[in-house]
Amino acid sequence: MRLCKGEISIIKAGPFTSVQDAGRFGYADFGIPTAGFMDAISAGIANLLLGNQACAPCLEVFAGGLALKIDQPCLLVAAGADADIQVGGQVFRTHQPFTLKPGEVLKISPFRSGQWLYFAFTAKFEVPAPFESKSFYFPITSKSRFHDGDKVVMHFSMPEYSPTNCRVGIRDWKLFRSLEVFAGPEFHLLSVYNQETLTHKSFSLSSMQNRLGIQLNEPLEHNLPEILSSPVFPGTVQLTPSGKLIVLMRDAQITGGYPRILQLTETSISLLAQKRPGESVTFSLLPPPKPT
Amino acid sequence: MKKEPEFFWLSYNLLEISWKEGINEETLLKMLPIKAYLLKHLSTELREIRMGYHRMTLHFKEFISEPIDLNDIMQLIENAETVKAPPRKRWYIPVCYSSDVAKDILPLSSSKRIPVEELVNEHSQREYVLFFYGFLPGFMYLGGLSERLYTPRKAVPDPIIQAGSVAIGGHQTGIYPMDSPGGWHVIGRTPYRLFDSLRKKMPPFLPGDRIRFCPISLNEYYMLRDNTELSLDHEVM
Repeated sequence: MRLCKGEISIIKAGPFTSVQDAGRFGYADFGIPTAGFMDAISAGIANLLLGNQACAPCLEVFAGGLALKIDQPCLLVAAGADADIQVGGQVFRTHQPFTLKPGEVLKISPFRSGQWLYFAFTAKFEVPAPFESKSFYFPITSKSRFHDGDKVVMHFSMPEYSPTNCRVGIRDWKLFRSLEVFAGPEFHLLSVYNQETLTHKSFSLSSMQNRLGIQLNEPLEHNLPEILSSPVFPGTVQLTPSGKLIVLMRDAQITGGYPRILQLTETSISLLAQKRPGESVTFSLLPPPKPT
Repeated sequence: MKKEPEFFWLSYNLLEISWKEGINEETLLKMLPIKAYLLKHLSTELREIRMGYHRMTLHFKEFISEPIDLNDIMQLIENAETVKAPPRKRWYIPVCYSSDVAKDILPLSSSKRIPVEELVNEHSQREYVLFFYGFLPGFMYLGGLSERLYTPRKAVPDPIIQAGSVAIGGHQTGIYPMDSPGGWHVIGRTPYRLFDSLRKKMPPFLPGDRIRFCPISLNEYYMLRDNTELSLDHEVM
């Protein structure tokens, strides 16, 4: 395998493109959030298709609008949102490895569905890894996202095989609307009526969302008091005093004072991340994970 | 009476352990050696432990060879009770309470009808206990604020509260480690840099430590602010 140093030039950064990996663990003691892939399943698929480790850093693209080029040949694959990847006159789909040659411009069309697209490379990102992760999270990293004209140093390792035109068929798991959840620590404080509503009605995503959390539209009227600040995680569903549900996502803070009524499974967090504002989901309550 | 502590699985790999509800040092001092003991004895299974006032949540790695047995964890907690708690420290943090760097001290003084000098005394003559970090990297949850200083958070948060701001929100006081939006009332500013992620500097304070705020003048504030290597006075309790 040849190894050489080169760079990615971000010509157009789009609304929110960053480097992400599995995230930071072990620094919650100092209030440092996990960060990491919004949709860890798609990032894992992209990485595994290239023979990378599932948690290797990827380029995470929100909503499209990205244009980039590289100065060394590299094998790439995209996964996640449904998008066309244009290189010169050619169009590649997700799950279809392709070679990007020096000088060629890669552009992404607006996504047909989904929100987050991942690019895995046969290359390593030379970006700082404060607290053992390359995931962008300001102010732990110096920026939260790329801007037009940014450059990233890469260590390219062009493998000694070239991709064919094959595309790996993976069932589009992102179409599922049902999110598997466990009861949160404060779930049992809700009225039976609210518990039923929560687990049988559908909830739509509002446009109030970012890497920290996603607010849902339909309120749940309740009279639960706030709680003393307690641990929260990506996938924790908080109930605000006004009845709004907030699903905490990857950049969420590590403690919170709102009742924690549900906890999404890892798979459900990735699934929810790919839903757009206006789309709706249901919560499918799983039995307690283990006896106590 | 409920048995203590209580256990709750939030997910396959998240186990919350709760003690009697409340913000008190006694619970914190019970939890700290247990946390240290669990981290030491389950180091291959645990990703991390997150703390609240009276709860901690064990975050296990997704793939571990042996399933976690609650009885083992209960046993570890029992064993931890025999372990001596690590030494605690008392830290002295310089704070300038001048309205030149603390934009809410005058309005707070008038709305609470407490003269500024008295307000400063009330805040700086107390000792605060560090319970845990949260909200922002390096943001301390401190217990021990005088009841006279309890102040509801602002209805509309300020778009920017500057790094180093010492503020009051609800029953709590704390220091903003970095510029951030926030709804707390800023009554002072410390020249000490709590958190510098680019230099990978972690705050030196650990849960269980005590914090005292020492009033300094505006001149001293500006002089100390330029010293990036400023170290704090501290002693073992």
